[in-house]
Amino acid sequence: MPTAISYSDKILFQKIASGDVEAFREIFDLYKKRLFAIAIKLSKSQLVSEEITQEVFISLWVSRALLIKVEDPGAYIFRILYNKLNSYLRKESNHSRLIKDAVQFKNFYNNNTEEAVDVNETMRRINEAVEKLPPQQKAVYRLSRQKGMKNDEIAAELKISPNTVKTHLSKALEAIRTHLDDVAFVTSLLACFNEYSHLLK
Amino acid sequence: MSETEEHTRILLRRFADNSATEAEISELLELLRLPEGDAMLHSFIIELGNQTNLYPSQIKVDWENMWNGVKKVTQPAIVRKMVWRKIAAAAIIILMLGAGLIWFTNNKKQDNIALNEKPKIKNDVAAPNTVNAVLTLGNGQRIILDSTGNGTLATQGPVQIIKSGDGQIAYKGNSDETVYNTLLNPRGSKVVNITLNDGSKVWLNTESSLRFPASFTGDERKVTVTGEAYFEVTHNEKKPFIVDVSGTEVKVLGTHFNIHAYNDESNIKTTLLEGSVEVSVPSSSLLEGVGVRLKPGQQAIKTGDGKLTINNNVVIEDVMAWKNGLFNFNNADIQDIMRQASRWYDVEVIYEGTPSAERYKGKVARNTSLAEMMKILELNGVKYRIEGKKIILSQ
Repeated sequence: MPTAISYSDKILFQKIASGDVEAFREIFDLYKKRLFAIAIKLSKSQLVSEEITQEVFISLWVSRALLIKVEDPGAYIFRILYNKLNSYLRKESNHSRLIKDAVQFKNFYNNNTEEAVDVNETMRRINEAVEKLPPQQKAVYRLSRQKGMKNDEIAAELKISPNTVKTHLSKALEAIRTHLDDVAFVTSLLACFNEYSHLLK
Repeated sequence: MSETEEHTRILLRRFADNSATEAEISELLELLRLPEGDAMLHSFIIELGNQTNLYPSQIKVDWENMWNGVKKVTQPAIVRKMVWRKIAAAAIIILMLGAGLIWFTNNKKQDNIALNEKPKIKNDVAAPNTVNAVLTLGNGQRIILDSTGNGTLATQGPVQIIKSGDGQIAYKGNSDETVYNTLLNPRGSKVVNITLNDGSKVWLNTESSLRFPASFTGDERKVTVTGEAYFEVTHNEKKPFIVDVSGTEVKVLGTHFNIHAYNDESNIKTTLLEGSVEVSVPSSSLLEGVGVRLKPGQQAIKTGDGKLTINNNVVIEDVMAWKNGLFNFNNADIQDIMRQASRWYDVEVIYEGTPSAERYKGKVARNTSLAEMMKILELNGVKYRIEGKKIILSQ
């Protein structure tokens, strides 16, 4: 089974099940590249692969009630991907397009230059980023993603207000994302998360 | 691994590595239509998932854009919750129109108690909001409905199986062969709707199943049901529609009816809405064959000991509440209520001590969470606690 990228994938799944969009964003960031890479190997089309990858996450969210009983998040996500790819490959109407895409892909991209992402590498970088966090952010992040505590539980534990917990968590996630060298994170989006997330807790 | 599987795997590798010829790709696509093909694809995907090489670095993906597309799905729920918080306590009638609000009474208390605020409960079980029904085809292949997109899911010979939306599938086409498929709607799943190839429609409640041929051949249309299902059968005098429910046969003469037959209940109830049905228990060595013909508005009850009676005082709205997104409790005791809750929320019910014999009457929207539903019972004197997927009731 593909290993979950982080030990806290199961915790993230529990949070997603109860509607936590930030946790959902984390799962998205952790799995998006691998899903896309597999999709493109089997569809030979960037457009199709992007669509399928997006659909996997949408399916995950829409059925989030099921996530509570998932024992193996990695296997679960890959099963959704398999279902989508299977649908795509089985459709009679996609056959000629597939062959065309495959020929084009072969000619366009030589196998030499492939971006490699080591799963362990990602974990290492996440840990690195966490280590660098200021003490309060680090504490909040650990209690949330490692111990799976809810925001009000963390507030009680650290003797700070729940709003402060939310702020620290958002900042920590942003810092980690930046460290993983992701696309620039828009501050306004973060503000949106904060505004909405208090309604979800 | 069989030869076909081995061959499929080899072609998959070549395809993934960009070294497959056009002919090989065509061949691969054909192989993937076989059941072994599915399994190979799945294991190949897992294999790829474990590898470290990804995709050509020339390919640039706008992940932020993709995330925005995904995020849209999360937003309706947020809007709903925002609106919820703004609604202050209101009259009962208004509350009944909103999502997830409840009206409940029991024998003792005369007042109707309405819940107007969302309790914050830690261990809660959400109402299902997807259809995770499983369709098993003639060759044993299983399709999980909610994880596929719309369009043709599969074929059974010349018959196409089409998904037209969440929880909606239809069979189109005719065949000379009789191939049986089974649609199973598990616990914790919403209602699924299937249109059979003769145009008849069936709605399945939670923890229910329908076994049917992909194409009706012969001079009878026969299906088997467990759990609860509502039928709208197309009229065809030459081919009567027969539903088999563990030994009871319901012969349909063009019509709308509901069958309630759960394994953990001793009675099987068939309620007729329109048209006419004949409910019969075929003779066996122990019981004489017996049959009744129902008129609209009547309900036939087959009790555990094989007796068949007619109930003329059935309230159709109550019987059909499940299909309309409601739980309906009519003089129900705690055990009746909890049995329905356990199927819908997929939880195990444990009673500490003897469950009370108190009776309840009321309607509850099905899209409330378990804790919200229990809160109402709690206000009516029931004590409980939720631990994971278990709910424990005590006096």
